[in-house]
Amino acid sequence: MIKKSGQLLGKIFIPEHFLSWHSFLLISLGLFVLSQLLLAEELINITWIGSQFFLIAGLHWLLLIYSPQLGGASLGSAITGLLVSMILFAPSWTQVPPIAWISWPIISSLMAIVPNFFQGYSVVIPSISQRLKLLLFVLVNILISCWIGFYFLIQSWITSYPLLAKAPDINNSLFVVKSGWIFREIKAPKGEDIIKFFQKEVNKQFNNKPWNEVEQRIEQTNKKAKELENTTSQKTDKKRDDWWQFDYESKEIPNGYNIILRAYWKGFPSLLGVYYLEQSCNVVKKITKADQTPLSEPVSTLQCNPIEIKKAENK
Amino acid sequence: MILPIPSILFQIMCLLMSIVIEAYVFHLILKYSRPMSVRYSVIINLASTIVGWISFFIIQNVLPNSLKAMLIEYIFFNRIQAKDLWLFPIPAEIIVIACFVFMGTFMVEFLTFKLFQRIDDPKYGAPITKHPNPAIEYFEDIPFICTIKNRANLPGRIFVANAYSYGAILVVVLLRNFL
Repeated sequence: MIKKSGQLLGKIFIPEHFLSWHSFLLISLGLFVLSQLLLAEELINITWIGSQFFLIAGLHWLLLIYSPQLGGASLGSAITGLLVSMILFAPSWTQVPPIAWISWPIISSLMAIVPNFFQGYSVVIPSISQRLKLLLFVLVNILISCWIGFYFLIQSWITSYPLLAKAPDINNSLFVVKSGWIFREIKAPKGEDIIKFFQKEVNKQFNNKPWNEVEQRIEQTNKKAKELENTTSQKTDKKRDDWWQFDYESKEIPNGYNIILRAYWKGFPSLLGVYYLEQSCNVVKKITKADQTPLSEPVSTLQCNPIEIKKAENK
Repeated sequence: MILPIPSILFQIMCLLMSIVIEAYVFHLILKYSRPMSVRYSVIINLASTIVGWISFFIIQNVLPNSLKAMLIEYIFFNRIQAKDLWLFPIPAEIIVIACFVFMGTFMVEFLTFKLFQRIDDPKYGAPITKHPNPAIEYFEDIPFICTIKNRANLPGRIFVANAYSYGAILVVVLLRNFL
């Protein structure tokens, strides 16, 4: 029993050959333990990087031997390729930048063809028929990377100009398709930023102000709305975006005023005014308990609805 | 969620079409064997597609807003805002871009063809043997321009093959738009 378990332990910890995946994984483990024990910052970094390197090398070797093959390339290298691109480009597992996904197929394919350049432990140039296969394999993977890049390009367009995805004309597209099976609420960071900026201004103007002052301010702001837009549109965005247009409107309602903030996206002349972002705010008298402050003047308060994407009725 | 699946499928179809057409042209006018012409056709078409994608990514990044809006509108709504018409009901920009794309594809395919001829050479990897006549050796090997073996107007033939495959794809695009 003890002998048997001893043999098993030996099998786990003692590699059959020195140059094998087994010893690489053991070196990685050893470096990892070392990196946890050491105190000096530089040494920790070096051992940590070394541990990652040997983990990838060992795992890759292991997968090359034991995973299914396709046209002379091991499919297991997709796993180690993913690992490498994540280590290279992703700061953490929760936030993976597009470049990590884009480089994944290329890195995997390059790693997959590595064993074709070795025979035993010496470097060789592959035969002609193999050369073609390898070249084809790498080229197809680069093409897949391009497709992934195109996907991320479209996503970046949608986050910058979200009304694209809301327009019904998207069904005419020959290049993209709207899928219902993975639903995600489309947000409009740029347009929302612009509205939020103006909402802050409006808040400054109308929240917690004496009521008689509010009436004057409403009139002033109506006059200044155009000016306000010109002076502040530069502040909302460092690189000035000409594709958003801000609009301000106010009207009287029974117990106060209604202020409407709109952001039109005018990227496409044919879509101008079809869709826009809107936030509606009400300036009303604050209701205070009569017995507490009976003599104080009425004070205004600002209540805002959430920002919505709206469709214009007449076009 | 917006997915570019139609572009991928359409690209695969275009690639298959141009590989078949160009392989056939190579077999006919370059007198290559069938497997060899398919091999060359696959490699040069894949390479030119990849170069096309990379230049697209670079160019869309530096486009002015008006052209970028045009591009996005075409991709998302299959609609072109025609401003300056020149003879045809097609904007002049499109015609210029199409010419550049065609010539660019031709050049990339030609260069890849010459490159792949070197990779596909069985002598590669073996020590270089000196040619008995130094003058012939000199003329035999001007990189990317001319070798004695395929001196018979290789660029012209690749151009023709490219024109055929582009013509076929153009027909498919037009059918796709109008049917």
